[in-house]
This record gives sequence, structure tokens and C-alpha cells, in this order.
Amino acid sequence: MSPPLLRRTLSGTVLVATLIVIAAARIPSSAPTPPAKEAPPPTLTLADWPLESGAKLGKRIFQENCVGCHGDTGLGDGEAAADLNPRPRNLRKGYFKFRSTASSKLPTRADLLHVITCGLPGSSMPSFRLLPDAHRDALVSYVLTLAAFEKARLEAEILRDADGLTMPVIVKDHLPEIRKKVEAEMAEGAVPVTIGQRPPTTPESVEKGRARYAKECASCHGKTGVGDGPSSYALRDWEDAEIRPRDFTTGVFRAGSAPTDLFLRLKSGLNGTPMPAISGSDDDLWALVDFILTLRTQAPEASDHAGCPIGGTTR
Amino acid sequence: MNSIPLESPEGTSNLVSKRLVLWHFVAAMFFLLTAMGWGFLISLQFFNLYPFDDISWLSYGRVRLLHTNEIAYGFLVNGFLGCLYYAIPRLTGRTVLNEKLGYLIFLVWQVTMVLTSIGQLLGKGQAVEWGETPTGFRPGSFDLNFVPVDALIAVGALLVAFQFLTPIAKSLHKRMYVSLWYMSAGFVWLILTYLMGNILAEWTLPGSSGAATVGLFIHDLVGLFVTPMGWGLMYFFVPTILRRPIWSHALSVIGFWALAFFYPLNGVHHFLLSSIPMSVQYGAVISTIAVEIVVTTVVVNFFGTMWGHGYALRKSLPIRWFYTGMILYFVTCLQCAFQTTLTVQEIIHFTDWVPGHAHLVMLGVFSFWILGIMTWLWPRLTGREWYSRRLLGWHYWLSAIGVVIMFLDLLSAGLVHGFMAKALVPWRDIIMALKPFWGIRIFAGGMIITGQALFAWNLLQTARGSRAYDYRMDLLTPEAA
Amino acid sequence: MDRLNNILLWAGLGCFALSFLLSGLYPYLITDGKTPEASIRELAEDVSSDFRLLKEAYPIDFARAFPEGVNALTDPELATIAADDPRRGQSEDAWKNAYARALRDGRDLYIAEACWHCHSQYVRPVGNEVERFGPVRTTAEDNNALQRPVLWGTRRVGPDLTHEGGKRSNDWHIAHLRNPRSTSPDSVMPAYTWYFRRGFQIRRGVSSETAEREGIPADQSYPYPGLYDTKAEAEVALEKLKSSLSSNLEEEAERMFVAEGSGPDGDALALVAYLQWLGTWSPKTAEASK
Repeated sequence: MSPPLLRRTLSGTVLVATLIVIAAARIPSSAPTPPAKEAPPPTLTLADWPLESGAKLGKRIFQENCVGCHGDTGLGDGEAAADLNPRPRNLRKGYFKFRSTASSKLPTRADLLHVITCGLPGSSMPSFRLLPDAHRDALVSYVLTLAAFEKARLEAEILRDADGLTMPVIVKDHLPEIRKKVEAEMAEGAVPVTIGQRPPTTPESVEKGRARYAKECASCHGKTGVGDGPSSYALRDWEDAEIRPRDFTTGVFRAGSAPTDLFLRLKSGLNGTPMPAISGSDDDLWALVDFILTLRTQAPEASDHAGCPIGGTTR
Repeated sequence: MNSIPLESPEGTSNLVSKRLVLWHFVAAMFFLLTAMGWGFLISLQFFNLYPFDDISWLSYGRVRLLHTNEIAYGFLVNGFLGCLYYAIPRLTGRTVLNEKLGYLIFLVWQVTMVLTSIGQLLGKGQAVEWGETPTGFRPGSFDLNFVPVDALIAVGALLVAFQFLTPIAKSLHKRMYVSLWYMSAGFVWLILTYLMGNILAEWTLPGSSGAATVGLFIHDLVGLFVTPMGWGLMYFFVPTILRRPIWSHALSVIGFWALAFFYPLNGVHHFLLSSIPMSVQYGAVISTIAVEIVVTTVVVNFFGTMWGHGYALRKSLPIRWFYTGMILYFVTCLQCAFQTTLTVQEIIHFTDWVPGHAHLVMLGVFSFWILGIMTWLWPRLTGREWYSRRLLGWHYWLSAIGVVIMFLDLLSAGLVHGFMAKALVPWRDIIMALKPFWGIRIFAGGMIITGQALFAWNLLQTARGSRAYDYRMDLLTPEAA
Repeated sequence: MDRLNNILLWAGLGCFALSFLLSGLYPYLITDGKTPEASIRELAEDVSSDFRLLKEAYPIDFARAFPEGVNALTDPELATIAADDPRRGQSEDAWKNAYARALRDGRDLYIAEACWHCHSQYVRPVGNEVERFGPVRTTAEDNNALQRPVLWGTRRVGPDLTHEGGKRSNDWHIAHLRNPRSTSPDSVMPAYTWYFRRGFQIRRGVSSETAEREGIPADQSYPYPGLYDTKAEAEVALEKLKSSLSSNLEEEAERMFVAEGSGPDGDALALVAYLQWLGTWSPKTAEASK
């Protein structure tokens, strides 16, 4: 090989390698920042809210695992939220769909723990059952803290607007009092409803359920339970987002498909959605459960050791 | 069995086409540097650094294919071909079939490699590990979507076989020296392996039997092509440089046939604890452990050759490259025997342990040998004295220390990953635990690349230099009377 | 060459052949060779609900990527036509053909991006993998055209995908492809931004009462399915949508507008369809669906 050609080949090689190293050192450019909005009046911030140890740990776990969807402060406005439908829950509002408590009340710790542990199969909410028990429990504390904080923030704004107090004064003098009040309210609400003994399923109970279903449920969930009732495509949730009724034929329910799970959904409704708490005696509700279970065309899913449906999201 | 003729470099120079050797070495260096550049780029991505974020053809998955394929088919094959053009005429006393054919092979091979690189950057790579060269067809079908590079490689391999088997068949020496055993077998096995791996798993065998074939291909490519070529060259260059005959010819033949018998039976150990029939898996495990026989015989043979001449390690850089490679070879193979057992496999499979192992084999062993041979031959090919012998030392130490750091780092990362996975730690926490290891890998990779860049610079400056080379400078013993 | 060399040549070839017989052909004969390999069309017999939802959520890119699905009817469309409408008959076949194409395209992209280098499709009966990922991979599950070449993989930088299908929503996969760190914090997976294109969407704002009552930012809005190439096309579609709204949504029509947006292209949909298929097929489920 003649020296000039050799030289060119070799220096070309060195050049390419250098270019790669230089390019590799380039710092990734950040997304353009949105234009600044008009500053809202000062309000209570999460920094003002002292966290007890459980919630403090929970905050760390939340920052590590949840902010991509639920957002830094739990408003449901994380980076992924734009692509998700249904949108990630705004944890600050205190509206939780899957509860064992009465309609419009906050969920119990066990309710939240179940959702965190098993996820909501088929939705974008994954299961976090591999997190240590203490971490999941701390997450529950933090999620409840977020809801409590939001209530307190609204109280503080009332003080600010009605009494003309400044935020530092409210934080210093009134916050402990507000906090005590909010937490008492929350604890009062988060009481599970009673689930009585399930009466045996009989042709009569199914028939009774069918009649009730045709009257009250079919307009959304459809005659055959596919979720295609006449008004099913025009439903909106509390944030004006589109929401679809459940398809009863698949046997997959977001928060458990055991009869007691269905009973609870009926008894307490899904907060923040058009699904109301169903009125009537427990026997009426059980009859409805009996009927809904007959709509299933696919085999129900088995549960794993954590009580989550097999095939739920896990990592 | 005859020993290697101990001529001075000038003695057989009319047999060797120096220019072909040189060209292949230059191509090899080109692909070595680019492949390592790709490797460095993907190692950054493991650290959440994405320098080419929005460019599809520079994304991790595509570049990763280039990293391994350019090393295997760009660097190793070019390097081996260069060495063979030097070694085979001197071993047989015959020229290769045709020098012009040599240039054709050179051209075919470089075109193949460029097409492979382009194809993989465009997302046309094949889903056969170590054989990701584009088939030219959509996966599993006959819809043409790119140049059928696989076919080109098969043609290239066939031409290579003709080129080198001819002088071997017409050898002046009645009995074949062990190097030629290894090399001639390697030429034939390469063609068979390549066709088997690239055709069967793509078009005929699905699922688990396909996986068995892919495992066989991965292993045969290393075991029946790279290893025979590497050892064949060692059996030639080590005695040549040491100016001593090989310690035991009997051991070398045992080593060869044990390799031929046991090595290909290992294939399925790449997919252990899978749905491939368990009997086949046990067979693979046992023969993998049996491969230790090959390794031990060969390594003992070479250290026997060296016995009493340890000063060569200090005096001769090529010998140091070779024996470093051999020690690492022994480490790798010992590792094989352990990691193939189902107990260890449970932990380390799917983790960084495996890339650690692969780096040790491909870089620490076979690349080191080729680099050592280049170090030995380059001044002889160009007729120029080294630009800087001190840089050669830097090249050695940066590469050797770099690869050992990378190996130990990935090994540890693999164990951490494996045990955390078994302990059902959430995936995110595993990734967080691995990131420090991935950071160290960037550092080790940087060391290795710096070493190769210095070497490339040294080669270039040597070729441009004006000082004539005196081969007697590199002789370990005074010229025989 | 003398006779000895000849014998040895055959011995060398014999070693190679022996290994192929023992670890290539033998496993084939006692496992996959016993039953015919399932074709991609056979795999597509059981169209998943996730795939149907893809058409609902991304109709324009779906139609471009899978022209076979032009007659495939989504659930909302089925709800509006009569039970004996002839279009129902063609719908199911159209779904299957579109699904077959999506699976093949998706698998090809899975190979093109070398997803298989970081994600395995191979759950082992050890290392608590069943606990983490689900049931062990069986031979029969892999005897199909989508596993040729085999995509088991040998490395897990990311989790195993054997049972990925149906675990998450399509949206999750879309968000994850756009930026993996948005759904999986600290992931090292690259973002696949080239599977997204810009266009124009119809969006609907939040009503001022809702914004007031719930403290939602007044500029929050939600997209309607469909990403149009030009603003004009989107505006035409908006008019059509407004005129077809049911009476209880009339108030919403006033809050609809056209805005620039970005969404997944056909390739992303194929990849998501493939990911959502993983683990949903086995010879047993194929029997059951017949």
C-alpha cells in the first residue's frame, strides 16, 4: 500500500473515532420551557406541610416510582399523562374509584394498598407488589397525605380570602388546627361499609338482578353487558375526560373480580365517575352481583399469592 | 510432524504477498476502532447519556449489532486473513492460490462489512446472535428488503477456503504441522457453521429447536472458527518468535481433536433451563466441562514451550500479548466450566456476567493475539522501524488493564443483578444498583479505546517513517550460526 | 493427501455433523417436529381487545398501516349498526387479516430495533422468575412463525416480555415508547421518538364550571382519536364530528378546537400490537377459540 493512501485510511479512522467521542460528550438538550404564566396568589405549598416518618419515606418512594404519570406533586400531570387515557389519577383531589367506603368518602388504607400492590389490570397502573411491604405502606401514607394537604390548602385559601391573612401567618398560626380538623374528617370518612353474608345464588335472585339491571344499568353497560349502552360513548368523569363503562363479559375488573369486590363497587360507587352508589338493600345488590356474574363469557382469572389477579402487571 | 522452518523474514518473502497482509491489517484496524467507538457509544446509553437522541439509526439496539459484528467479521476476520497470508505460505512453502483472488477477497469482504454496517443501522439486522449480518429478506420470509449480505459472506468464506486450502493441499512438507490442522478445519467449519446458523433458524426451525440451532451457531462460530484460527496462529507465531519448537506435538494433536469433538456439542449451553429437551441441555453441560481438557492440554503445551524462557515476556511485546491472551483464555474457559452448571446459570444468565465473559474471549484472547501478531509483523511489512516503542507499551498496558477492569466489573454487576433478581427486588432498584458498574465500564472502555487509538497512530507514523527496520532488534536469541 | 488425511477430514466433518444431529435435529424431532408450525394468520385468529382499541384510539394511522382492517368495526361502530347488518359479517375477517399484518410488522420492528438484545422472551423455572414474570415458557408456545428466528434473547437489561400481552394498556406502551423514563423511572431504554409524527388533533377543553369546581387548569384539554396531516383536514373532521354528536354532548361542541399535536405512527401501532400479543397465544388457547 502506498504511504499516502495508508495515511488517509488511518487518519480517517482516527477522525471517526474522535468524532464519536466528541459527539458522545454532547449534553442532551432539554425540552423548551413553556412561557411563564401569570403568578397565582400565594397558596399553601407541599413544603409547608410537615410529613411524619411514614409519609416521608412514602414521598421518596413516590418520587422514585410514580411521578412519571402522577406528576411531581400528585396532580396527575406527569410526563406520560398526555398519552394516557384514562388519565393518571389526580391524587390530590381525594377521589378514588375503588374503595370499600361509602360513596364520596376517602378509601381505607387497605383499599389503596390493594391498588398499589396489584395495580389496575388492563390499565396503565402497574402493580408494585415487588416493593417491600414497608414501602408500599409508606406510599399509602403519602397518597393520603396528598389528599389531606389539598383539603387543607382549600381551607387555607378561605382564610386567606375571607380573613385577609397572609400565607406565612396561616402556616404559622392556623395550620396545626386546620390539619387536625382535616385529618379528623378523613379518618371519619374512611370506614369500610359492611359486607353481609352473601345469600345463595338462585334463579330468582338472578332474575331479580336482571330486572334491576335492565332498568338502571343497561343504558350505560349495555343489554348484554359489553359496555355499549346508548349513553356509553358520551360519559364524562369529574375532570370532563371521556370515560367508558366496564365490559362485564371479559371477567376482568380493575380492582378484583370476586363477588365481594363487585358488591363493594355497587354499594359505594366509583367516586369521580358517572357510576353512582346503587341504592337498595344488600340483598338487592347481591342479586345484581349474581346477574352480572352470569354475563361473563370468559373464565375468571385466578389469583396469585398476593391476592392479585394472575397476569397483572409486575416488575 | 515437522517443525516450523526457522528462516529469517527475507528467506520466504517471495512467497508472502506483504501488501495483502498490510491491507487486511489496515482494514482490521479500521473496524477495530469503529467497533470500539460503537461500543463506547452504547456504554454511554447505559448511563442515561443519549448523544444522538432522535436519530433512529444511532439508537442503542442498532448500534449494538455493529459493535459485535464489526469485531467478529470486520476486525477478527480481517486480522486473521492478514495473519494467514503471512503464515500459510511459510508453513507450506507454497504461495496462496492466486494473489489477484486475494484482492478480490479483500474487496468482497470490505464491501460485505460496509453493507452489514449500513443494513444494521437501517434496521435490517438478522435476529441470530453473532450472525446479525442482514439476510436481505424480511424475517422468516423471502421478501427481499436489502442486499443479501449473508450470501456474500458465504461466497467470501468459500473463496477464502479455496485460496488457502490449495497451498495446504500442495504443501512441500509431507506431514501437516498442527497449525494447518487448525486452519484447514476452520475454513471448512466456518462455511458449514455460517450456513447452518443463518439459514436453519431463519427459515426452517421455529422456537426451541431454532434456539438450539442458534446456540450451536454462536458456539461453533467461536469454537470452530475463531478458536482454531487463533490457536493455529499461536502454534506458528509463538515458536517462530521464541525460536523454540513446540513443547509436545502429541499434546497439540490431542488438543485439536478434543476441540473438534467436544466444542460443537456445547451449543445448547447458551439456552439452559429452557424448553429445549433437558437431555440435550445436560449433554451440553457435560461437554462444556469436557472442553476443559482441550484448554488444559493447549495451555500446558504453550507454557511448556515457554518453560525456562520467561524473560521473553519482558523482552518481547508480541510474546507478552500472546501469553496474556492465553492466561485470559484459561480464565474464560475455567469460567465456562462453572457458569454452565445449572446452579450458577440460574444466577448469571441474562446478566452482565455474560457480556463480561464475551469481552474477555473476543477482546482479551483473540484480539490480543491478533494485536500481538500485528506488533510483530508491522515493521517487517513496512520495512520501517517503530515510530515509538514506548507507545507500544502503552497500547499493551491500557488494553490489558482495561479489559481486566471491564471483566471484573461486569462479572460483579452480573452477580449483583442475578441475586437481586432472584430476591425479587423491583426492576428499577436493580437498574439503579447496576448503574455504578456501568459507569466503571465506560471508564474501562475508554482506556481500551485510547490504547487502540495510540496503536493506530503508531502504525501510521511507523509506515510514514524513514528509519529502516532491522529485524535483529526483535530477536530473543542471537542469530543462529 | 494420503489416506490418513482423508480419514481425518471426514472425522472433522463428522464431529460437526454429530453436534448438529444431537443438539439441532434431535430436539427438533422430539418436540417441534411433531406438530405443524402455526402460521402468522393462525396466530391472529383470536383478535385481542387491545388491538381493537388501537383502531378506536388511532384510526388514521391504523388505516394507513393495516389496510386489511378497513372493514373492521370497532365497538362504538358496532353499537350504532343493526344486529343483522351485513357489515358485521365482514368485520371479523378484516380484524384477523389486519391483526396478522400488525403482528408480522411488529415482530419485524422488534427485530429491527434489536429489542431482543435487552428483553428476553423466556421464563425459566428457577430464580423466582415465575413469581416475577409468570408461567415458565413451554416448547409448544414457541412452535409458530413469529418465533422463527427465535426471539428468546440472552440478556435482560429490561424485564422479560413473555407474558407482556394485555398486562398494560396500549397507552402505556405508547407513552413508554415516546419516553421510557416517563412510565419506568430510571430506565436506560432509548426513546423511540421516530415512531411518532406531528399533525393536527381535535381537542376538547374542560368546561369552565368543571375547571372552577375541581381546580383544574382552564387550558386542560383532551384529544379525540385521529391525527390529521393538515389543519384543513382536521377542521373538516371537526365539523363532521360536531354534526354527529348526540344531543347531550351539544354543549361540549363549543369547547372543541383544532390544535397541533403528535402521536404514534403505524410502526408504533404495529409494535404495540405485537407487544400486546406476547403470551396471549398458546396452542391451548387456539383450540379453545375454534
